[in-house]
Amino acid sequence: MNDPLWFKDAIIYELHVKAFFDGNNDGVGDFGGLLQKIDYLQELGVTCIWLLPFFPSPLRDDGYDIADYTSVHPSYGTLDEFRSFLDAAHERGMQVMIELVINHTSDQHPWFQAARKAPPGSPERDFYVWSDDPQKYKEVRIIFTDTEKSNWSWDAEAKAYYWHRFFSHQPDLNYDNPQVVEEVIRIMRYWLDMGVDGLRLDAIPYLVERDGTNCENLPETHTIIKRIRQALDERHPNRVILAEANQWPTDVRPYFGDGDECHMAFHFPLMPRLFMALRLEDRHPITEIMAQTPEIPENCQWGLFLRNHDELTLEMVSDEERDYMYYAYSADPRMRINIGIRRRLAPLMDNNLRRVELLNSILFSFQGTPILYYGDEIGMGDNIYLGDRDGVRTPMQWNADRNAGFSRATPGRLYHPVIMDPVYGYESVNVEAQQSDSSSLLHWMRNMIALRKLFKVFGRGSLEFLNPANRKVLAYTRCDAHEQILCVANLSRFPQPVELDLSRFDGMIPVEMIGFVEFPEIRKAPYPLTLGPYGFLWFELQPSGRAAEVETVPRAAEEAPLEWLGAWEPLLNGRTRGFLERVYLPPFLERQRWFGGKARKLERVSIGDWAEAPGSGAALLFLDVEYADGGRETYLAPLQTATDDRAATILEEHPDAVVTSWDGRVLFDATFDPQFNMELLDWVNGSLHSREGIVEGIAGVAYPALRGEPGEPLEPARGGSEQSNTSIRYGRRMILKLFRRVEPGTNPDCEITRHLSETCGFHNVPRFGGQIDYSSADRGAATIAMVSELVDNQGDGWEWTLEELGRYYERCGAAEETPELARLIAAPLAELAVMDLPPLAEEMIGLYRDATRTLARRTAEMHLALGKETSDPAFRPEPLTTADLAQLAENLRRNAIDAFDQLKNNLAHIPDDLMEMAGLVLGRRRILLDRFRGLERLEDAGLKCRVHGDYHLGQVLRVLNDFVLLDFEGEPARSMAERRVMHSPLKDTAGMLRSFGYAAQVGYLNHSARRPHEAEKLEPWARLWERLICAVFLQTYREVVAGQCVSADAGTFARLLDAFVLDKALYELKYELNNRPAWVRIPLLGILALGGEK
Amino acid sequence: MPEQAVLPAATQERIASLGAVDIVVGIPSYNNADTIAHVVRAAQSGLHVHFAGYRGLIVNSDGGSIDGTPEKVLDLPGEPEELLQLPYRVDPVERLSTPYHGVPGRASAIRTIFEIARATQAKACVLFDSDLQGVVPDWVKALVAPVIEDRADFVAAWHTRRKFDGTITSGILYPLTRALYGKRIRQPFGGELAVSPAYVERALTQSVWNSDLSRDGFDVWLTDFALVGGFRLAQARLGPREQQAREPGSDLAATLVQVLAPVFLEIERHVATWQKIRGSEAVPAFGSAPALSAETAEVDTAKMIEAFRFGQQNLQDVWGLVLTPATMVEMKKIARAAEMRMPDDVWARTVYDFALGYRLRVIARDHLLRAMTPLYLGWVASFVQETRQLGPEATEARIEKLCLAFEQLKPYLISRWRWPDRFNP
Repeated sequence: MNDPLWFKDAIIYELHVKAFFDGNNDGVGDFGGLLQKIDYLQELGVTCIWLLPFFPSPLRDDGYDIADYTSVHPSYGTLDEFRSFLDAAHERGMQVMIELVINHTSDQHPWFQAARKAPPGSPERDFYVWSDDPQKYKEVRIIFTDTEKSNWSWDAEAKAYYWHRFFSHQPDLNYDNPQVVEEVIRIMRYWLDMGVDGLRLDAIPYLVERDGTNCENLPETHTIIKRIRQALDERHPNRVILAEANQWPTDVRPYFGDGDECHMAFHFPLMPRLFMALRLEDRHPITEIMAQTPEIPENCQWGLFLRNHDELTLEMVSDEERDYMYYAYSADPRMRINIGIRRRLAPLMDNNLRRVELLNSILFSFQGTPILYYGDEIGMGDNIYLGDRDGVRTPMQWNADRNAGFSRATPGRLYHPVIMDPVYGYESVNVEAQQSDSSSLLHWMRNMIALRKLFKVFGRGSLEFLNPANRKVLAYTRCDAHEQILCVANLSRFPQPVELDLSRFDGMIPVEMIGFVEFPEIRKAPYPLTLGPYGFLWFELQPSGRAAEVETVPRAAEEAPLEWLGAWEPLLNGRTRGFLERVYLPPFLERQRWFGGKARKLERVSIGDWAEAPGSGAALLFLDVEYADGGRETYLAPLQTATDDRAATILEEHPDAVVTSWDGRVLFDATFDPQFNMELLDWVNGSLHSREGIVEGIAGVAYPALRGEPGEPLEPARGGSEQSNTSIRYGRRMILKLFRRVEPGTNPDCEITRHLSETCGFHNVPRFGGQIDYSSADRGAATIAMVSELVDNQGDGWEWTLEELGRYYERCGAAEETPELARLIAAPLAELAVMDLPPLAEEMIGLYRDATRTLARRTAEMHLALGKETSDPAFRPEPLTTADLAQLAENLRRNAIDAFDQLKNNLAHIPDDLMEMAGLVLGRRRILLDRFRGLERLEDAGLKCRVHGDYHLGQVLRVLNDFVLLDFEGEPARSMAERRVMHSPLKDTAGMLRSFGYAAQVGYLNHSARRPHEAEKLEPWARLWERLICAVFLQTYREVVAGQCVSADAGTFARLLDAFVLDKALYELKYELNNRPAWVRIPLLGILALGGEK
Repeated sequence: MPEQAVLPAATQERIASLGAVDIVVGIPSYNNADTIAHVVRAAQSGLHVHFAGYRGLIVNSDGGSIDGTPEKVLDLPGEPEELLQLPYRVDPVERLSTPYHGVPGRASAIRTIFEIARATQAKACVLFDSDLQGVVPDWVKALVAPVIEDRADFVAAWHTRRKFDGTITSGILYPLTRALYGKRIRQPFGGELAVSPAYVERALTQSVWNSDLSRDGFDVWLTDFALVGGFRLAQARLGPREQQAREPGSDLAATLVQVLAPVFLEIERHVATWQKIRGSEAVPAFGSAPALSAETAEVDTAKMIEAFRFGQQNLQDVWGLVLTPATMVEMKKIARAAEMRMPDDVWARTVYDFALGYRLRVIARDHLLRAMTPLYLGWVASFVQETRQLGPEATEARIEKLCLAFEQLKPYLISRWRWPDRFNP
C-alpha cells in the first residue's frame, strides 16, 4: 500500500477467526477456514480485515488474555496458515489489522510467572505493577464492575498485590520499566515484518499508573505511545495503529498527538448516541456529541462503528441517558452486562431492515472510517443466554445446512451454538440465502460500500451539520476540493418534511447518488425535501448545467483547458486566465479556512497583480474578490505547480490546497511547497517586483540572531491549524505569519510586536524578526507577512488553563463541602482577591492563582509600555476625553442593541434548555443598556493608547513559570484602520476576564459531560473559580499599573471595565449565535452575571 | 508496484552506445515475414522524409517467429544504428491464439519498446502493427508530429474506413468509450499510436505488464490509461488501413469476446473515474483523411436479421438475466417488425446492460458476450439498412447521433451499476 492515508478510505471488517469458518471441522473457526471465505469479504467490498486476538491464550477473556505474543493459538491454525491468509488478503488488495494487547497479559504468560517468583525489585518482577497496599490508586474506577471488586489482587507466590484494570487474571504490564516498552516494540515489529498492515492498540488509556490520579490518559502514557509510533515509523511506513480508548472525544484527542501518536481512534461516545437519536427520533444526541468532537490532525482519522465484539458501552453517557438506553434497548436484564448492552445490531433494531439501513447509511457517510462487525451485514441475531459477551460472538451463518454451514463438526463440538431462534436463526438468516436475494441486507450493504468507495470525500472530506427546524431530520454536508455531498436522514418512523438552508450551494443541482436522479436546482430559498419513514438521501451536488451537458458543443476559446508552458505568464496572462478566474479560483478560495468571505456571495475573482518567485518557481497572486453586496477584498494566494509523485502527494494529502489539476499537473497553494517557504523567508532581506508593484522586506533588529548563520538549514514546516493567516515554522527558531487578506496599512501585529520588543524592551513578547510588505501605486502599501521568534512553550494559555481546570474539577468532585468553602463561594470579589485561601482551596486552585498574578503583571506591564510617552505618532497615548467616552458609549450601545436583536431573531435556533436564560437576558435589555449610559461623565478615565485588541487566554503562551503575549493583530473581522485605533487598556483587561469566564464554563461543561451526576455539585465551584481568578487578576493588575494608564479611581475603573466586559460578552453572544448555538450558554451566563444589578 | 526493467544487459549496453534518439518506431512482430519488410521500409522512409533533423530508431521486437521475420528485417538496406532488433518472451499459451489485435505477447513487445524509448530519451514513440500492407511513410509524420509539435501525450490512429467496416467500433467501442470517459476518440483501440515520454514513463510504472490485460486486450489498456490518466490526447487521420487477411477460423462471437472482455474489464477498473464524467469533448484530430471512404463493404443483412430473430427466440433465458423487461419487449417487437430498426436508446441500454451483466458475472463471462452476438448483428443490420443510401458524412452524422444516445443514457448505466437490482422497469 503506497498511500500513507489508506486507512481513511478503508472499509474495516472485524471478525474473530474462531467464529468465521471452520476449515478442519473441529468446531472452531480457523485460518484455513478464513482463507476459504476471503473472497466473500472481497465481494462485500471490505478493504481491511481486523482480526480479534488469535494468540495462544487460556481464553478466559476471549483471547485478550495473551500467553504468547508471537504464535497462533493451536485451535486457530499455525503461523504458516496465518501467513497464507495474509498473502491472500494482500493479493486481493485487502489490508490486515491485528490486535496488540499491550496493557496486560494473561497471568499464564511466562513474564508473569517469572515475575511472581522473582524477588521484589528484580527486573523480572518489574514487568508488572506490584504493591503491598491494596489502597494504592484507590481513586481509580473499576471497569468490569460485574466481576471485579478491586483493581488489586493478591498473589500468594509473590506475597504482594498486582495491579489489573480488567480481569484479575490479566495483570497490567509495568510501563515504567523500559524493558517492557522494548519488548512490546519487538513484538510489534515481529508482526509488521511479516506484513501485517495495522495494529489495534487495546486499552491504551491505562498503560501508566500515578498516585493521585485516575490512572487514565496520563502524560506518561502518551510518551509510551509516541515511542511505539516512532518505532513503527522507523521501519514500517504506511502501517497504522488504531487506539482503543473508551473516553470522551476531548480525552481521545491527545491520542492522535500532533499526528505522531495513533493514526486512528474509535469514536466511542458517538455509537450509543446514534441508537439514542434513532429511538428518540431527535438528532440532538448526534449533533451534540459531534459538537464536542475536536478537530484532529490531517493525517488521522476516527474509527466509527455501530456494533462490535463487546457490549454496546454506555460509559460515555449521562445517568439519565443510560437509563433511557436500558429501557429502550434491553428490556430483558440478561441483555445487560457491565455498563452496557450485549446485543447485535439487528436485534437492537427489532429486526427492522429500514432502521438497520438508516444507521448504516449514517455510518458510511459520517466523518471517519466505518468498521463493520462480522455477521451484521446479514442481520445476524444474538444469544443472550450465553455468558459474558459470547452472545454476540456466535458462529457466522453461511447457509441453512447443519451448523449454519460454519462447520461440519458434530453440533455439540462447536465453540458456541449457532443462533437457532425462528427470527434470527441460521435457517432464515444466512449468507447463501441473501446472496441469491437481490433485495437482501447483504446486497444493500455491498452496494452501499461500493458507493461509499466511489467517493473519497466520505473518508477524507469535512463534515458540516445543517440545522433544519425539524429535529427528526439529520442533515449534513461532506465536502472536499473535488466533491460536495449532502446527506439527509429521517430518524423518525413516520414521513418527515424538512427545509434545508442550502443557500451556499445556490445554483447547484443535487443528484441523488443511488439512482443518479437529478433533483431541482438549489436556490437561495430553503430547499424542501420529504423523507419516508427512516428514509435517507445522499446527493452529489453538481454545478448547474453540468449534469445535463451532453451536447457536443465546442469549447469557447477562453474555455480552453489549462496548459502549462513552463512559465506563469501564459497561464496567468494568456487566454486561460479568464477560465482560471471564473472556474477554478472561486471554489478554491471558498475552501480555504483563511478566506473571510465564505458567508458572502462571491461575484467575481480576478488576478489583480502577480509576481514570479524566482527561487522556487512559484507565483505570488493577489486576488481581487468582489462580492454581490458590493464589497471588495484582496487576498494573497501564492501558487505552485507540481507533477508526478509530488502532484499525487499533494492531491492525496492536501486536496483542499489544490486549485485544479490537468494533464498530471496540479496547481496548488505554494505554502505546501517547502522550497517556496524558504524563499519567502529570504524576502525579509530582499525584494521582488510584481507586475504592478513591489514586494519588499524589512528585517528586524533580532533577525540575524534568529536566522542564525547564513546557509544554516532551517526546515520549514507549515502549521496545520490556520485561521485568517497561514503560519510557517522555520526549525525551532522562527515563525512566519502570512497575512492572507491584503489590507492597506501597517499590520498592527507587526507594529506592536516591533514596538514592544525593539522600542520598549518588553521581554514578554516574541522578538520581532521582520516583515514583508507589498505596495503598488493603485493599492498603497500593505503588510503581507511577519516573522518573529518561535517561543518554546507548554501550550497556549487556553489549553493550559483547561488542563488545570480539568484537574480542579476532578478534585472538586471528590471534595466534601465545608462551611469554609461555602463562605468562600459567597465572598465579595475584593475580599476574595486578598484573602488567604483555606488549605483545601489552596490545594485546588493555588497554582493557577499564582500563575494568574504573573499573567496580570505581564498584562499591566504591556499596557504601561504601550501607554508610555513616545515621539512615534502611532503610539503616542492621549487622555480619554469626554468626547471619546461619549463616542465609546454610543458604540457600545449600538453593538449591544445589535446583539439583543440577533438573540431575539435566533431564538428558534438555540437549544431548548437555554430558552429561559435567553428570555432572562432579553428581559433585562433595558437594565443592561443602561450600563453604557453616563460613561461620558467619568472623570480621569485614564489614557487611550494602542492595545492588544483581541486579548484572551489563547493569545498568551505559557513559558516555564511565565507568560509570553502575542498576536497583536486585533479582531480580524475589523478593518486595519479600526484595529489601529487607540482604546482604554481596560478593553484588553475585559477580554481576559471574559476569557477566564469562558474557560471556567468550558471546563465545567467538559467535566459535566463526562460525569453528569457531578454537574449540580460543581456549578458553584465553577463560579468560585471564575470569581477568584478574576479578582486576583484585577488586584494584581491594578497594583502594577498603579493608576498610570488606567484610572486610579476605583469607581471609575470599575464602571469602564464593567462596560467593556459587557460589550465583550455581547460580542461573544453574537459569535456563538452565528457559529456554535450550543455554546450560547456561556455568554448568556456572563451577561446575566453582569445584568443582575446595577 | 512498479516492475523491474526488462531489457537484458547486452541490450542496455547497445542502447548506451547509441546515445539519445528523438523518435523510436516500435514494430512488434510474430511470423510476419510477408509484411514486415514493407512496414519497416515505410517507417524508415517516414523518418527520413519528415524528420530529417531528428535521430530515429526503429525497434523490431519479435516474439520468436519461425517464418524468417527477423531475417527479413535484417536483410533490409539502411544504417545499422537506425535499427534495433530484439526478441521478447512469449508465453507458450499465448502462441496458440492470435488476438484480435496484433501479435501474441504484444504487451511484452510494447514494454520492450517503451523501455528503449525511455532509455534513449526519445521525444516520441510510435507503434506500428507488423501485418499492415497499406502503411505509408506519411503515417509516421501524422502520428509523431502531434507529440513533438503539439505536446500531445497519446495519439490514436484514425483510419479511413469503408462504410460498414469496423462496425464494432462504430456501434459499441466509440459510443461507449466516448460516453464513459468523455473523450471523442473515433477509433479508440487501434494498432497504431504514438505516445510522449511522459506517457511512457508513467506507463512503465504500472502493474499491468504481467496481468491478464497484458495477454488480452492490451490495446484497450493503452488507450484507457491515456483516457483516465489525464494525458493530452490527439488523433491522427491516416487514411485506409489494409491488413493481412485474418485466419479463417475466427468467428464473430469469438471476436466480440476478445474485443469486449477487456473493454468491460476496464470499465470495472475505472468506475470511480467514469461515473464522475459528464458529457464529452472533442479530441483534436490532425490530418485530413476522411473518416469514411466512398466505398461500401458488402453486407448481407438478411443473415444478420435471421441470426437476431433466432437469438430472440432461443436466447431469452440468457438475455433475460441481463436486459430489463422493457428492453426484452422492445427486442421482441424489433424481431417481429417487417423492417429491421433498432432504436439508439434500446441499443445503448443493451450495451450498458451487458457491461453490467459482465461485472455481476450473471453467467460465465464468455457465454454472456457470445450471447450478445445476435443482438449486435441486429444492430448492424438496422444500421446498414438505415444508412445504405447515405453518403459518408451523413453516415458519420448518424453515428454521432448514436453516441449522443449513449451519453444521454449514461445515468441509466450509473444507476444500474450503483444499485444492481434485478427488479427493474
